[in-house]
Amino acid sequence: MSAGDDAALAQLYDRWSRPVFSLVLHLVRDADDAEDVVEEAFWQVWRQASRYDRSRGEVGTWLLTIARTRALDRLRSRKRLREEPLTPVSLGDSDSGGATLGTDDPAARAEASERRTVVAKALQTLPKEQREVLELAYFAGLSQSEIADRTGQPLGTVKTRTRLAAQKLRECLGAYRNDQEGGS
Amino acid sequence: MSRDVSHSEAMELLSEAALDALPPDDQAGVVAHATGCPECGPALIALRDAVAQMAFAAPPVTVDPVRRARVRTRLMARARADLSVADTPSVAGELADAPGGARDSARGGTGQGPRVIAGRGGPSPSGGPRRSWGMVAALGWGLAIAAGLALVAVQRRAASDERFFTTERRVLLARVDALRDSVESRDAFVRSVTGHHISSLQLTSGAVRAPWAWMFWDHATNTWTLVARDLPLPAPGRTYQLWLVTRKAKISAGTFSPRPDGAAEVQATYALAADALTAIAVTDEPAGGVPQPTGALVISATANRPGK
Ligand SMILES: [Zn+2]
Repeated sequence: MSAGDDAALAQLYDRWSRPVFSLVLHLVRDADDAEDVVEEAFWQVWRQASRYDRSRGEVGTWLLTIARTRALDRLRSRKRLREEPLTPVSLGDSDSGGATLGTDDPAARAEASERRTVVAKALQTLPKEQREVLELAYFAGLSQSEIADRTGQPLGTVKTRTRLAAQKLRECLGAYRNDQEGGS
Repeated sequence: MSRDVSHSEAMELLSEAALDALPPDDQAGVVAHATGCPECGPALIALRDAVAQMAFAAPPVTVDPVRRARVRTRLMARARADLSVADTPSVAGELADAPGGARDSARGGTGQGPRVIAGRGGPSPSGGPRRSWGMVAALGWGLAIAAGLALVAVQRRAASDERFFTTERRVLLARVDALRDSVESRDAFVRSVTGHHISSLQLTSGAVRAPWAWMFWDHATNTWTLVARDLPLPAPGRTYQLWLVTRKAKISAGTFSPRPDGAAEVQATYALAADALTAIAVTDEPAGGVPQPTGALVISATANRPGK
């Protein structure tokens, strides 16, 4: 039994480690911290698989959510959240020259690249100020009032923008999913 | 933990909830409402899913292949160790009837800080060390929506997920979960009373059936662990309160009640200079605790060799 189970974890890792590492490194900005966070995120998914309600979507999405939460926790525990200027999210692909491991999964790479394009397109459809609040909330883990402080906008405006942005993103990505479903 | 959130209020807050951007009470309230609401539930799932996709907008980085390989190796080693524990016959037998034992416990909680390891705790009066009790219900993906709302995933992705979720693994992992929780709790306790940076004080009492206790102070983590035995049960409406006494102040480390057998293990976190402690005391106080000690001294110790 254990051989098969090991294989499932290995498969999960080979498929998702690249986007998870990218996300976590972007959030914590320290390679050693990122390594810890990535390991713990995969470990949590592996350990809690028995409790996961699959109607909530695919494992990768869950994994990325856990990785983000853990990365933000790490960031907060370092108390550096407010001292570091945010790096603007780059939507371009700079991942072309990476070294490849024997364990790397080319299909996973292609999939991550495809998704990156789709999400980037979806984000680009948002007005700049809506994208900003979404990115501050997602990548910096800021609350709505923290975003209001940082951007100098009234709290009500920030909340409205967040709501509009999230709904728009949902519509764009939902449409993409439905296309995929029909096309496979 | 959670407050009542109406349908219209929940609808307003779904996007923030999907981003985990709400204060804990609101987050829990929205999630609790969405769990039972046919409109908010699917909407929150869809928003969470969309928001999670933002991960792909992080600038892709070329991760050092050595790092990636190292994490992989560690994960595989941990998985094998986990599975070999689960294969141990005595363990499997002991937990055989409780495959879902850990199913309802907190998921990925970020709760930190001190807690009552055994016995019952109460909130600390303001100004004292932080305390929290028991498992903190996670607010992350704590949403169990009935099947039938399933998001349809792309087929090839679903096929890969399928392998990850074999029935055997689900049962096995639930057993491992239960076992690990218990081992982790014991390990944490053992760590808090052993090690290089720990000093200890024995607390005594003049009562007939003398209670006794040890306080372990982990200077490295500012963790205080009180292990008490033979404590009489406090009267109804009363509780015990633990104090860290310095020359300048009596600092509440929170309230607790022993188990029926008179035993209690309590932890608090509080940073104190190594030479600042003059005494440890447990007093009998009104339920809920008091800002400064008023009641009878139950048990105490003087720090003769402060900070060791
Ligand atoms: Zn509702």
